Amino acid sequence: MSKIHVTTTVNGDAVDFLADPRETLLDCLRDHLGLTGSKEGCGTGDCGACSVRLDGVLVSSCLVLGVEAEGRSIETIEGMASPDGTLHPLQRKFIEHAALQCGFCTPGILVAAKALLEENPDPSESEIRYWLAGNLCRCTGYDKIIRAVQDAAAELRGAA
Amino acid sequence: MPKDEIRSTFKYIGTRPNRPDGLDKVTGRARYGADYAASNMLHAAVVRSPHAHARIVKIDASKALALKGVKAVVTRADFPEGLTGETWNLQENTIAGERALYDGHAVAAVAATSALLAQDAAKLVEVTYEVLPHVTDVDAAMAEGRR
Repeated sequence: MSKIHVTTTVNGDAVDFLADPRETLLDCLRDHLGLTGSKEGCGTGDCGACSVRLDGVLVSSCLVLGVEAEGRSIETIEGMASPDGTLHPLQRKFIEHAALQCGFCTPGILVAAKALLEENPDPSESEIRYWLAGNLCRCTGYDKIIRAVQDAAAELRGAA
Repeated sequence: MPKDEIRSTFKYIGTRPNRPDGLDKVTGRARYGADYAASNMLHAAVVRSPHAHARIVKIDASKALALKGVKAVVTRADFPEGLTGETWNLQENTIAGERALYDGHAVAAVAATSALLAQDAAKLVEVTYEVLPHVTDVDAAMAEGRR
């Protein structure tokens, strides 16, 4: 099957790649662009490990076709820290709170949590748990993740 | 003060060290098995049994192997024979022998130059099954005459 030339923006950089029309955005990010921070946990939109933002909207990149990225803007875990390496407060708080173990779900959860805090800078614990309900973690039991998000939210609001 | 925040005179006990793999894992830099790629790397797809219990009569991989870019199809015939004990058990779980023992039991695997091609080729592997009765609980599985 012939491939389609896709021109898009990833983490602020102009990029292009040749995609098989059946390839997912996740496949394209990982296999064509070498951005392996987004993970495939299930490939069916259940686990959230592939979460990225497409024009600011949180999506499971395994449920988006690569060719749909044409002309759009994508944000992945690789673009979360500043170019100089300074971590986003969420990343720093995840380390401080030990909110990760194996780390496979962590990129997806960080991308999703950042989207939450941009929409709602002061979420309640319930709101955080509901927002992150689409991100499965089999190690942590979630509690430390919630505390880390709350702590990062407080810092971003200037309350900590 | 919570007990885990009490500073002692120990170097590590009673402190809250950051885990050494934390930075790589929050930045997406940590490398897992599926994150590795090599030049000329082949991709695999597994053909799985659609039956809970079935005798494998025949596996015809000729259509799959005819696709350009398909490099190999392996079946139980490519595995060692005569294993016993735990190594036999592991092999039996890895790939079906005479019989598929559950819905999803691997019966063949395809290696090809791309993941999509491997998946296409896996669909072309023709497996002829003779469906056998299956059991759904341990008591029935242990009943007289079962194997």
